[in-house]
Amino acid sequence: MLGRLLRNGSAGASRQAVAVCQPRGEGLSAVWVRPTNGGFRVESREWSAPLTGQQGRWLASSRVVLLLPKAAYLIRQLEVPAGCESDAAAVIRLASEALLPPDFGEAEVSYRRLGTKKGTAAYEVYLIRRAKLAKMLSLARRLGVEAEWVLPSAWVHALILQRLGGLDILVDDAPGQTEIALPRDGGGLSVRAVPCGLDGLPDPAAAGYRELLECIRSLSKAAQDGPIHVGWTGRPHPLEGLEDRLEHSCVRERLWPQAQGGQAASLTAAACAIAQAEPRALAEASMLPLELRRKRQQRHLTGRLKAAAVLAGVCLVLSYAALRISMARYESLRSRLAGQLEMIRAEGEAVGQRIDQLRVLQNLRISRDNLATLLQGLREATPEGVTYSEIVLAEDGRLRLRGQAQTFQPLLLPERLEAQPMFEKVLPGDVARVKKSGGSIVEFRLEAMLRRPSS
Amino acid sequence: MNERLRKAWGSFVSQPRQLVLAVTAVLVLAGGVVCRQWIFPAYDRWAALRDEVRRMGFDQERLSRNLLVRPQVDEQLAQLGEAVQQTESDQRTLSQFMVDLESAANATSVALVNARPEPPARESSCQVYRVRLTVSGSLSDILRFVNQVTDGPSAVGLNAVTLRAVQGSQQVESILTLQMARVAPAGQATGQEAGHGGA
Repeated sequence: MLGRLLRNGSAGASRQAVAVCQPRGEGLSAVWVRPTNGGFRVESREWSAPLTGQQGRWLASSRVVLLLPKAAYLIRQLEVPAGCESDAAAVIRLASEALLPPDFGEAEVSYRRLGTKKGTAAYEVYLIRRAKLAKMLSLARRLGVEAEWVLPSAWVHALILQRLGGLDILVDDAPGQTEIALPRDGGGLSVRAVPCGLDGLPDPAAAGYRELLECIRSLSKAAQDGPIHVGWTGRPHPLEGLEDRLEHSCVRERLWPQAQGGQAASLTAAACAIAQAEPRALAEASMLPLELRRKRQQRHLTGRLKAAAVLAGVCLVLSYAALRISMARYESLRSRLAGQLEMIRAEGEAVGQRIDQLRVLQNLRISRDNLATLLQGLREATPEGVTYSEIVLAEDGRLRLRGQAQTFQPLLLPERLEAQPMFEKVLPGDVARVKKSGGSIVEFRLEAMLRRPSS
Repeated sequence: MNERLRKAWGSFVSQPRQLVLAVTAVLVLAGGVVCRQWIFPAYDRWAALRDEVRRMGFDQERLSRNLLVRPQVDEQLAQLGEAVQQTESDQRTLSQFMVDLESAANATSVALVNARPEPPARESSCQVYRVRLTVSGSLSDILRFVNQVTDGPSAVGLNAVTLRAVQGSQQVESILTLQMARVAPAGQATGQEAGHGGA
């Protein structure tokens, strides 16, 4: 059953552990649920003295929820015009003040969205006296618990009923305090608190038993056919003879095994449901006073800013230290290299100078063959009947040719020059027939590069 | 005044957004001061040191390579002989080069039309003498002339050449740019050139 509660959670829910605490007299009962790989881990605690260091760490790693019993708050249903969802909290706060009894005093308000119908949005509103809430919070604080959310039990019942589905009644039975939750039309919930609990069961005279019977009877009137499904969290209870008294069939589904009975079982179911709840819904349902929320936010922010400042300072110090260390290493390397260079500089530079001289001489020797290479290449590439009137070889190896022929044979010249290994980048120039001394000849120009062997 | 300032600051930072803004501004300001005073100067010194060490490393590598090939370099220079050594003044060397050119022209039946020497130039510890010659003759004579000039023990190269046919004859007029280099004896390299050579 617990697995079903965890599995049916919302997609946006966090995987962080949840600790649910509930005031119990002058102490607190708490259950801690941590989702693990493929399962969960549950621990329960009860204490009435301030938490020790180890217990504090136990809570510090979790999101702490203070669960309010039904006896502490009121439930109302409220409809507000649709379209003001963005200001829902403010609108609900204003509207709910009108629903309060005159002597109720200042109240904290939270809500659950039920749905939208015919231009109105329905909300289930939870109201608690500010003084009562402050008392509970101060008790929790005195015992070392800082609640992140303060949730009404009705909201948790609604969550459990929604997750499990198919239940007509949810009975949350804890020692001295039993709550019976009935889903209503429109998604709302009716929660009845039995102050003395179902301790007297199966004694028909017990107040809790009478209350339960009354609830089931009212349901059985509505459901003519089929059994009534009763979900039961908390202490195990067989409810023998219930069908005889109701004259209606009941299916009782226990939501928690025998070993986890009592208060722990009740809180465990709540913790499992809350662990998988949507954060936005949790924030809407939380009854934590606004100023307290702001103060915590401020404290949280201040802590983060301090951490950021410290981090920035550490970064600067580390950068400076890294630079100093690196400089020291470079200094040492520089003095070592300076010593080595001192020893080889004079001799090495002299050899370098001689190498340069050899290179200059080598280049001169290579250029000796320029003319022979050029003439040989032209002889092999020039077609029959083509003669040259000017050949210019510049210092950078650029070659300019001017010549003439009887026909347009010079058109073949670029391709034949390109085929020679000593020429490259052949660029054909003008080729034109011109009249000359009674006849005509074809004159041409051409440019290329003479490829020289590298030194 | 202080009280008023403190109150104004308190009300300013009571809003989370303003608190974040204030702390961020203070952090940026403080970070800027720290960077300007300590981090950036340290970085500049570090970068200068790094560049110097890198340069010294390159120098060491270059000089070590030079020392490694020293025997081969000395051997090649020795093979070149005394003909490439600069033993006389620039004027005498250039005059001798011109005389050699004229002798070669006579020997190869090439007509020396014009000779224009250029001022000697210093190139990588070598003295370079350049002469621009205008000669005329048959193509084969000019080719022989060039071969004779460049094939000697001196280091002579042909830089540029222009061949132009003389109309109505088999003659060719040629403008040749010849270049001869002489090596300064060891130990005479100028200080300016030292440090630029090497493999």
